[in-house]
Amino acid sequence: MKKNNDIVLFKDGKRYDGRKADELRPIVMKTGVLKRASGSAYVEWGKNKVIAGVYGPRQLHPKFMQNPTKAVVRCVYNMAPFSVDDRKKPGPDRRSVEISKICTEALENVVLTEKFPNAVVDVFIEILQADAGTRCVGLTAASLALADAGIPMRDMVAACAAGKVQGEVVLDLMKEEDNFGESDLPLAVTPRKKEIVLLQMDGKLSREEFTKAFNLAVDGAMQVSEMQKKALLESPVEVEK
Amino acid sequence: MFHVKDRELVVPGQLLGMDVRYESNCYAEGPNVYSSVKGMARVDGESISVLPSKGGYMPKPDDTVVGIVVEENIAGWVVDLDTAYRCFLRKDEVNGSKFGGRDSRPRGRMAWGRGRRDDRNVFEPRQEVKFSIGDVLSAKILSVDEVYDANLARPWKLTEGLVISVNPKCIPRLIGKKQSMVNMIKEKTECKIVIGQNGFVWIKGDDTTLVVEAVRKIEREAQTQGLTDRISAMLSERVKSPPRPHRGLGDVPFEDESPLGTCTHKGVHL
Repeated sequence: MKKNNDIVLFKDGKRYDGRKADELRPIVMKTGVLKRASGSAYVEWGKNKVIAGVYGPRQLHPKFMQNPTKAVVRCVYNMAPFSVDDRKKPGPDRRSVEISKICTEALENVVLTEKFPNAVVDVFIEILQADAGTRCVGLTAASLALADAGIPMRDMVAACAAGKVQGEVVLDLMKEEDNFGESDLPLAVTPRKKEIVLLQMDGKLSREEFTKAFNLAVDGAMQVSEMQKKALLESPVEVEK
Repeated sequence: MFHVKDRELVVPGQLLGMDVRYESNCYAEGPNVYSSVKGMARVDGESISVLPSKGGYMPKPDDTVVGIVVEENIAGWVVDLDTAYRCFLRKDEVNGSKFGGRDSRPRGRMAWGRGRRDDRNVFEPRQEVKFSIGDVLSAKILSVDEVYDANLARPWKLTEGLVISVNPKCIPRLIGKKQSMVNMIKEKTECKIVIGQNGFVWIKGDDTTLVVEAVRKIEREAQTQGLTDRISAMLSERVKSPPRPHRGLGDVPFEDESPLGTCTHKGVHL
């Protein structure tokens, strides 16, 4: 395995894949990709490929989990066994349970749950190909899928990460930067008010570096939000003549 | 002041206007009004609303719905309306009350045989309307409680035919102004169609495949203009030269096939 010093991740203002420090990877978004789901979205973000499906609002069983004042949002994050270089053992593990939980909490903040008492909104995030930052991609796709399903929301959720690589604060880490970098700061915002619905940090950042990375990630998330709007508004109707 | 034009597509969280009246699928924070769903903004005089392009069905009193019986118990039937809520059809609503409701006569007097006002024999059970699991019915929603659990009334059993599931938000388009669209489809294809506000559509007739095709086209193109004319043209063209129905077993036509063709089975096709 390569060591931190073997690989040059930042040189002359350019990164390992030729991006600038504040540049996102290329992103493609599509909605309505699953026929049987209430709403769905597919996001390609660099080498990440993620599909999200929303089912519901539907009846929640077992009944004791129902809440007569609001709907329950359940988000499941899952990595396909073929999504990473080494085969990932199928099924939930510590990491995917954690990401499911934080995604649920992020989405709960925007869905108008009080409109659907006793019901459940199921969100499934499936990582088909992973290349760092999958929780951000998954959350972005989940938010698109919720909007596609027609579930009332206060706002969308847009996510992006920033981090520190060989002493330099950069936006949207790719796999090599994530593996050999010093720090990773994924966050998710509601674009209208810029409220933070997810904020995690891996590694260490000084106060100044944190502020810089935070601002960079918020700006990145705002760019992602614009792409989300564009993807949603792209005419889904093709009139046959 | 409005920030969007009439018929503009909007996304959740988009600013629609300031200091304006708002109706469905909008919410206000202070003077600002935002959209809560993805759909089409409709500006009507001084108020704004959003027509969602997708979404589940929420039971509403007086709606006509099409449902499938999924459970039976001593009090009635649970009907699946493709919603998150429990919809119940009471046996009382179908057969009248057994234990003396508003319309029943005093059982005691009849049992004693004095002053009988009809010739009904109280010791013989009355002919009851029964539903079994899997039956398709259309009904009205009688009442909806605070958590959207609904009671149904006036059921009508729909035998044979098939049921398809349509996006509930496209149902107004499928019905059309003064039922223009559905009446046109019925007329041209000579099929029986019952549309439920919940998104289930029951179809019975010779050419159900064509009806399903037309319904899917309406669903796909719900937010476009001049749809009735396009559907009308499509149906006229297809009815004149009907395609050979798909039989699943080669393409050999059967001479003595029933006029109902492929739709004689009682099936649910979602």
